[in-house]
Amino acid sequence: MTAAVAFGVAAALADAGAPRWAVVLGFFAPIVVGLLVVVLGGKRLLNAVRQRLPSPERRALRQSAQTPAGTPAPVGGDWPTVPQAPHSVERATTLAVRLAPGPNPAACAAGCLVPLAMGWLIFLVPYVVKVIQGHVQGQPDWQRTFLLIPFILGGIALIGAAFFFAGQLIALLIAGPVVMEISANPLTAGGRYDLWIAQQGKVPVRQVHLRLICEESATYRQGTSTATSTRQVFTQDVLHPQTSSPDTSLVGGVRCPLEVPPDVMHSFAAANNKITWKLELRGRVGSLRLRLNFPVIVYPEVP
Amino acid sequence: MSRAEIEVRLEREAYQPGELLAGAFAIEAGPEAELALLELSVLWHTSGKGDEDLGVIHFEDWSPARGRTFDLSRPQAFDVRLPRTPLTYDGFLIKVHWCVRVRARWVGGGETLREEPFRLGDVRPWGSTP
Repeated sequence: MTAAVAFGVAAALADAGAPRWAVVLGFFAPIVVGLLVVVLGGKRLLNAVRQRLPSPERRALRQSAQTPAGTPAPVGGDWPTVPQAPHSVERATTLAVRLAPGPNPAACAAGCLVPLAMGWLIFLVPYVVKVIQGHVQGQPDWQRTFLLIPFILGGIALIGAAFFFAGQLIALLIAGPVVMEISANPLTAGGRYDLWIAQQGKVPVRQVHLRLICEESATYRQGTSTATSTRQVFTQDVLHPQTSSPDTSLVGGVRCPLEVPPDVMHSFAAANNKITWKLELRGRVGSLRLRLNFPVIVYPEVP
Repeated sequence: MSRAEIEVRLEREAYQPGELLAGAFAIEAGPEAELALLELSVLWHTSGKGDEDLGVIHFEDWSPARGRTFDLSRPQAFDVRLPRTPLTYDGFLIKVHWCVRVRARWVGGGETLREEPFRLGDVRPWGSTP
């Protein structure tokens, strides 16, 4: 529209025999005026829209009123944003609370990696056999040989990872269920507790390493998808293989004290950001590695 | 109209969980300034790598259109009982901040915003944890 007016004005001025500077001015003036109207009008329109939109605080208040039951409420409650302590369905036998084990990443990783590694092998082996046969028969195909090298290296890494995680799963099966009981859960910053860890299988878990860990995880939008970054921000040894007896195993149970440092951040759960605490157990069953997590909830110190 | 100033004052810069936060705010604006909406919020919000989370623990608004006018010539006092959590936190990926936020929207467009931060609790930064 503005361009049409600009051309019209310029053409009319040229037809009327106006000087060249007047024709140029007649062409650009409507464009500049049009742009100013668009920019200033657009800004006013944006301001008007913004004025009518609810503020972020009002939106947050409405969202918190719609929060479904069971999720941590951002407003209200005795401990807003502190999640409830997960309880094991099993009853404690030695101390007050039996901790529920967290999800085992080894099971998930082994479940994905073992079939993937097998598929990779089925795909790769016929080509590798053919290339080796060529070398043996004195007719090497170097182009195919070099092409296969990255696939072979990838396959070795995949098989190694599959063995590692499958080993952790086998260790778990051999060791039998590992239970952890604590004198109280939720925990409190600055609190002292008793812990009892025991395995129900016969093959002993040795080189037991138990750590109290705090982790931050932040979820953010990346284009159309979301990503989560996780970082361990605090670790504290509870039981270390170097400080305990070499014969220490979880058969029959091990008892140890747990101290949560004072003035540390409490467990926190919001829609995009989380601060979680857990007890991480590492050990060896024969030559296989064992790794288990037991999430705990930490409350702030009560003054 | 956005050439106005909001001043927020708190009794203290740091509070313990469950304590009473007390303060006042005042708006300095020309005689031609006409308030469309005024909001006072006491809130926590996160910053860092993740998307922002925000929780409002106290919200009050004044809007002549809804029959609640605000006297620009007088400061407005407020007091709010603070919750026990979340505590102010300065982490690696996540930070939790507390503040009093006053937002004024003016007839004819424009917005003035003022935030006064405060600390809740005494969470020690990780580096200094024994």
